[in-house]
Amino acid sequence: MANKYIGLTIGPLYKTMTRVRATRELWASSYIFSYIMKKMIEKLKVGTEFIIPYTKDKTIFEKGQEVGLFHDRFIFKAKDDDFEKVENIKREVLHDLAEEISNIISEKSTGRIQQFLDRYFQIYFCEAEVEGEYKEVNKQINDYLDSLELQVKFIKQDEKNYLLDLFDKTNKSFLMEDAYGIKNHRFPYIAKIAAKELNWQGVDESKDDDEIDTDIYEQLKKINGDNFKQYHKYIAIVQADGDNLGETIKTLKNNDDFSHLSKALFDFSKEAHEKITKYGGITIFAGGDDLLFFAPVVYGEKNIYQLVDDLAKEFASRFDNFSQSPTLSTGICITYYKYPMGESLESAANLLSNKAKDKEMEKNAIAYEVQKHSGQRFEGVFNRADADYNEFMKLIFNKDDQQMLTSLIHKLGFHSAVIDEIGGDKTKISNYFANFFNKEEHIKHKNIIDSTAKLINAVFNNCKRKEKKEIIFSVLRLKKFLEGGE
Amino acid sequence: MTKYFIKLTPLAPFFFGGEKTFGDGKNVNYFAKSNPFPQQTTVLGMLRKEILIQGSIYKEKWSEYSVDDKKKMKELIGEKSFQLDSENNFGKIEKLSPVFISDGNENFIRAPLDTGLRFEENEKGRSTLDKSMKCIPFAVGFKVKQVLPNSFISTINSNKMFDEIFSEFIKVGNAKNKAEDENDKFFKQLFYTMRKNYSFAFFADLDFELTSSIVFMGADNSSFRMDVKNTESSFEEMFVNNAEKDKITLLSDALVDEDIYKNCKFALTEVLDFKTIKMEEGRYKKRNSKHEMLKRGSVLFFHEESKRNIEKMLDNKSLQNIGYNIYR
Repeated sequence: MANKYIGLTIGPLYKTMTRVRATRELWASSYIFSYIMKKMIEKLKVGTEFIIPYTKDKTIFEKGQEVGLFHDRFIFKAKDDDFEKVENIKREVLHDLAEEISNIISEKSTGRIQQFLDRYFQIYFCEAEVEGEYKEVNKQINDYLDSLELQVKFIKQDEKNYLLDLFDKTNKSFLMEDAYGIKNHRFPYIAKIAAKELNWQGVDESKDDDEIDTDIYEQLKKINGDNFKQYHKYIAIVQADGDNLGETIKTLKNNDDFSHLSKALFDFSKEAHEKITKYGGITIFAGGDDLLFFAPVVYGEKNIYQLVDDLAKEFASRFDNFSQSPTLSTGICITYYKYPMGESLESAANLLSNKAKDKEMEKNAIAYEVQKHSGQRFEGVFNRADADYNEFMKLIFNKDDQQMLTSLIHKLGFHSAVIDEIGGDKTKISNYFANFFNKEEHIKHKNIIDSTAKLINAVFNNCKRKEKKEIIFSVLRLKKFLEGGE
Repeated sequence: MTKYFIKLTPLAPFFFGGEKTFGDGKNVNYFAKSNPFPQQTTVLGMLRKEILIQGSIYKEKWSEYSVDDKKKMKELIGEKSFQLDSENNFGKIEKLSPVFISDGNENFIRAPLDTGLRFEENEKGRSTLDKSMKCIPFAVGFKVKQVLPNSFISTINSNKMFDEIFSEFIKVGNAKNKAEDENDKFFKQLFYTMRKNYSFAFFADLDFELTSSIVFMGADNSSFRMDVKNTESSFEEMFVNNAEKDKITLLSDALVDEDIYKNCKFALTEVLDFKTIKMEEGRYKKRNSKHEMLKRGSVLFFHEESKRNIEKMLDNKSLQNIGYNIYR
C-alpha cells in the first residue's frame, strides 16, 4: 500500500566544518546541525512515525548526551497538513536559534541573525507517495533528497557570518549547555586532548588560545620530563563510516527488521562515544553509521589504531544476526596541534572516501596519514580482513626501541631493491634478516625484527595496492613516531 | 581595436589565492590551497600592469609616477582596479573573455554539471527548496557516492578529467625566526601545475598593440609565458552555441543574486568564494565583504517564461566585460 512520506535534509555540513580552525569550533560546527534537527523533530507531533532517525529511545532528546546524535536527514510518515507544518517548524526553529545566538554574540538583532541563518542553512524537504516497507521508503526518499542537495545555496554578499562568531564563543553557548547539561562547560584545549595522558597543573586562561596551548606545552615538558614525547604535540582526527549498508538494507524483510537495524546503529553510536571518551578522545558526531572524533595519538597502553580497531570490531558485532553484515571503514589524519582543524577534517574525509573506500581496497579498511611538522608526510592503507593488517597491528602494538627502528628503516632503505625482489618469499626474507641483522643489538631486539620480516612478507603477498614498499616504510616510520621518535 | 587570442603557459607551479590563503596578523593559515583557475580580476590585473610595461610607463613605486605619467596611465588602463556595482573603465582594455584551457590543438571549458544526467520532475510529489513546488525535481542518473563531473570538454567534444590537465605540487616551509620559538611559522602550500602542452587561454579586445612576453600573476607572482596572437575568432563563436530552450549553462563563474533560484525549476550548481583587493593609487586597500559566485559549469533549469528574468539577473555589463557571467 502506498503512503505519503516527508524527507528533510540540512546543510551545508562540510562547508561549515572546513571553515573553522579550533577544536571547539569544529565540535560546534558539527553539533549545531544535530541541534537544529533535534529541535525540528521535537516540534513534530508526538506519535509521528519516523523511518530515520531512530527515535524510540527517548534519551536521544535529553540534554547531556555530549555528542550530536541526530543525522542530517529525517524521514517520517506524513499526514495531511504535515508538509505545511514542516515549513512553519523550520521557520520557528531558526527564529529560536537566532534568539539564542543573539544572547551570546555581540550582534543583538534577532531579525538580522535570523535573516543570515535563512540564507545560510540549506534546509530542503519533499513529500512523496511511496509504496512498500521502510526500506523502499528509505531508498526512494533518500534518492530524492540526494538530488535536491545538488542545488547549492549561496550568499551573494556576506556581510557577517554570525555562526563563526557563535563557534568562537562555544564554551559560553547554548550548544555546550545542551551537550553537557551544564552552563559554561569548557571544551578542552587542543594541547590537553593531544597530551591527555600527561600531568598538568593549569595555566593562565585569560590569554589567547594559541598562547594558552604554548603555555600548556611548556608546563607539560617541565612536569613530565622524559615522559613527554613528540606525539603529545599531535592530534588525530578520525572519520568512520559504515560500508555497504545499502546492501544490508536490501536484505531486510520487513519494518521490524529495519527498526532493528536503526537500533543497532543507534546503540553503536552510544557505545562508540563511550569507548572514545574512555580513550581520552572527544566525539564530535556519532549518528547513524557516521563517526567523527578527535583523539590523542597514544593514551596509556593503547594507541589510536587500537581504538579504531576496537570500534570496527564493535560495529561488526552489532550485526551478527543480520544475513548481510556491514563493516566500518576509517580515515585517520594525524597532524601537529597548530594545523587548522578544517584542513585535518578534509584530509580525514578524503582518506576515508578515496583510500579506505577505494574499489581496490574493497572497503572494511583503514587509511591513515601522518603530517609531520617538519613537512614529512607518510600514509598507509590496509584492509582489515587481510593478513598484512594483522601484521601491521602486531607490529605497532608492541613497545620497541626507537634507535633500532631508525637502523631498520635505514638498512631496509639501502636494500630496497632487494626487498622488492624477495619480499613475497618467506624463506628469502628470513635469510635476509638473518644475514644483515645478526649483531648483538639486533638479537636483543629480535621481536621487532621478526615482526618487520612478517610485515614485509604479508604486504608483498596480500596488499592490494601497488606501492608495497612505500607502505612498509610508512609503517616503520609510524612505529617510530608512536615510540616517541621524530 | 584589435582582437587577441592569448595563451598563458605556466613556467613553474602556480598559486591563485582562494579564501583560505594565508591570512595576516592573528589568523595566519597553516595550509593554503591554490585555486586551479585564476580569477578574471587576476587576469585583468596582470594585463593592466603588462600594458603599462609595454607602454613604457610602468614604475616600481607609485611615488615615481609624474603627473604626466598618471594621465597616460589613466588613458592606457583606467584609474582603478575592478569595482563591483560601479561603472568600470580600463582604458585600452575593452573586453576579456572567460579563461579556458588550450592544449595547442583543442580548446576546453568545464563540462556542464549535468553531463551524463537527465533532469525530471516527479509531479506526484511536492518539495520546498528556495520556494515551494508542486513537484520533486530529480537528477536521473546521479549516484550520491560519485561526485558531479569535474572534467573539461572541448569544442569537438573531447573529454579530459581534471587530473589529466592539472597536477598538485605541495611546498612545505618553515619561515623560522631564530629569535622566536623554533616551532613558529610553519606553512604548507598547495600549488598546481599543468601537464605538458596545456595552458590557460582567453580572448581580449584591446585598443593596444600587445606583444608576447613573460608575465606574473596571483599573490605569489607565479610566472607564465604569455603568447599573443591576433584573431578574428571570439569566445562566443567558440563556445556559445547549442543553447537549449529550457536550461542555461554557465561558461564562466557568475555573480548573481540568490533570488535567481526562485526563477528556476531546479539548478545543479557549485559555489566558490570571491574576494577582491582594492587597488588605488598603487596601494592595496582593505578588502571589503566576501562574495559567493556560481561556478562555471553550473546549470539552471527553468520554464520558458522565466528565461528572460534569469538572463536579466545574469546580464551585468561590468562583470561580462571582464569575463564573468557568460552563459549559453
